[in-house]
Amino acid sequence: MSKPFSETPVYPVVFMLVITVVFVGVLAVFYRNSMAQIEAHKVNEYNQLLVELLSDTLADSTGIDRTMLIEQRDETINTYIKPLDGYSRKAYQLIYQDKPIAYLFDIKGKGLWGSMAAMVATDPQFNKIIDFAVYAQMETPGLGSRITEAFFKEQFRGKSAITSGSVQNYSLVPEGQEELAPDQIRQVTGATITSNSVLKMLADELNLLYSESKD
Amino acid sequence: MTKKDIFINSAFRENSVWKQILGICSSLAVTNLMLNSLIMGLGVTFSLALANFTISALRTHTPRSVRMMVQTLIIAAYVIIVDVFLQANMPAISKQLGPYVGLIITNCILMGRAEAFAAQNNPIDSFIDGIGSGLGYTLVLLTIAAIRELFGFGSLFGIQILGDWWIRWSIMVMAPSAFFILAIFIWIINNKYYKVKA
Repeated sequence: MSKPFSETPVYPVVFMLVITVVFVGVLAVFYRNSMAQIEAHKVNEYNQLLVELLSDTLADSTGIDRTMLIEQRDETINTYIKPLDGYSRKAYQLIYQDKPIAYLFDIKGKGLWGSMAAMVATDPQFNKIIDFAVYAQMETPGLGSRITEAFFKEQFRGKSAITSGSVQNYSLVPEGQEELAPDQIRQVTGATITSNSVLKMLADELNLLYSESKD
Repeated sequence: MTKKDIFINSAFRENSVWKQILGICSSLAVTNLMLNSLIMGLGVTFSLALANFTISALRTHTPRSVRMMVQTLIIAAYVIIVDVFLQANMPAISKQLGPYVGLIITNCILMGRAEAFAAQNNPIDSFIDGIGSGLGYTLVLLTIAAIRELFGFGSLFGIQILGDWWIRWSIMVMAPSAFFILAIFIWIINNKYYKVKA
């Protein structure tokens, strides 16, 4: 007499296969139904950061309150922020009275565990960094991921971007120490490689964008 | 054992954190804010209850040789549902919790309850055990988070409780505070409830 199917060596394989197909199918349907919402949140978040990084410059030029510019995000984008062509990275220009008053670039680089993406806003001559923020990263939670915190990103505001035709080289100092020179950045404690990766990404991308601006 | 006993046992008498010392990693990681802790706790409760129910419902058909793979697959599926739900409906909290939601899969409480309870009991009892274990875990998270958020930020659930006069204890916002608060909490429970002597 033959053994029942549930006692054959092939049963565990078939069982596992069926369970996998069922659960992956359920997940695929669930994810598919939520995808539009997730994408919409990502676009909102991206646009929010875009406006935040340019809002100080825009507020100074127009006299409009910064908070209002951020609150009326979509109107601010439609009125003042236009795409900028001619660069290999996604680029935007802040237009006021028909003149560009700032550029913003979507830059990419390598971190410790994976790629990272950031936005850097500069003046149209690439002399000065107006603002900077990492918006996507895969660094160690609680350590490297602190590059998204205000203390780290706000240090880049007003720093030199391109001086005498080449990118400004920054050096790192310990987090608890004050910067003694304008080219120093306080690193994230316990995340030296990540902090250096941010500096490298910024330098490489600014070099590339500056050279493309000359073409 | 009655259904009430199952719940009380899994939530309090045999609490996963203070009695079994499971799920410690996430108990330390997400407890800087009460809202994060509540969402994490509810995520674990949801995954645990439904994973327990499903594992129990399939237990008589699951071959012993692949049972742990099946359990991991089922747990992972429910955790991914929680993760996707948070990304779609609570993006700010999803971002704050970061990788910890995905890491519910590796939370020892889920595999522990699957093996110790769901694989040997009926689906309804397993579901109740999952709810009890999850709420017991949430209770610990909220207790630690209440202390950390109150002293670290002066607030509870983001509502300012202590005024401007309060000098925030920055140690409470940092990870080490969770270590000693959890240790003190477990010590008090063991000493008072289980009468454990050092």
